[in-house]
Amino acid sequence: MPRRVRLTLQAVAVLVLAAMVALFAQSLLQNSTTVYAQLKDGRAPTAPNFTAPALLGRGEITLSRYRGRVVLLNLWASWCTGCQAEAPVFNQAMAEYRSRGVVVLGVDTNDFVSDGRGFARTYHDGYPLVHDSGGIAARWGFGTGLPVTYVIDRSGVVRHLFDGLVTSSALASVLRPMLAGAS
Amino acid sequence: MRRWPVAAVLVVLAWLALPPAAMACNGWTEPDMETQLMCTVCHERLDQSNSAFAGRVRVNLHRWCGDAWTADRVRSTLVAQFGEEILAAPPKRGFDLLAWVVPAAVLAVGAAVAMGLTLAWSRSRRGPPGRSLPPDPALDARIDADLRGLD
Repeated sequence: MPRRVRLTLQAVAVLVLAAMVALFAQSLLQNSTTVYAQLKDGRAPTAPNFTAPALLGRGEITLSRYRGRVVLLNLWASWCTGCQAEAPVFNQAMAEYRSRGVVVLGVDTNDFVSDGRGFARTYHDGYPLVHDSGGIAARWGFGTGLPVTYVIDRSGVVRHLFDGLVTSSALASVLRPMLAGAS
Repeated sequence: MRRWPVAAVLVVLAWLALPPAAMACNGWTEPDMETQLMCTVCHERLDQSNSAFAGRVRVNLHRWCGDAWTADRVRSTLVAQFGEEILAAPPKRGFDLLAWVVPAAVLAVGAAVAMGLTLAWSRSRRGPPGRSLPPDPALDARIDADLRGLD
């Protein structure tokens, strides 16, 4: 094989390899570990911010606007029977803890908007809801299914994960020390 | 002549055997569309998933089929609702782009190598081109003499 052809082929091979490495690095940067996985590893990650359309009404809601409050970030879907069962817990939590700086932010994820709206009108009451088109669930993550609830402290650090149904007593046992520490 | 009733019966049976979705949808079928989609909750292909999410997607596919939506409209609506994770095929960007590019590149390189090897092989079969020797008057004269001797 002539030397010039061999050099050209080698250059092409090096370029292809470099392109593959660059694509792989970009992919790693984009798909960094989910909040769910970090919490399962025992870490307390900073809450990744997001902006999503409000499920009911117009406009968008940004997570960072609740900095300074304790946020219960609840990922739910209309097809999830557990989500239906735990909805009253969040309605009650808002009534009980709102004055102490707690806010519930519901994220309707992996769900058709129309289904989510119907569900929200029936079961959710008095707290902000957004619709997720895949981005929030991809960044925050969940295990084998919904519901999943993250507890974010006033400084924006994710402190606790409810992997499944939340009960009033379990919520109180997590919230009380956080609220007592702040007062 | 009596074959036409049998043929008619066969046509009717074939028509009845067709899945309803294949007849109703606008150029696509519900079972085929399910093979192109993922359950974003259980991460299985939709046609293999029994999750509640998959059930909701199936209900909507059936409705859109009845409304004569095109396959592109179905896919784009689902991507708008759930992101590209809903598609079974990898997206054509980032590292996933390799899933599309590498098979085509491997085919192209393989074809080029095969063509090169074939050319090299056919050249080697022909052998090296013959070399002509410079004329030798003495040899020519001897050959002529020998030929004359044969006459």
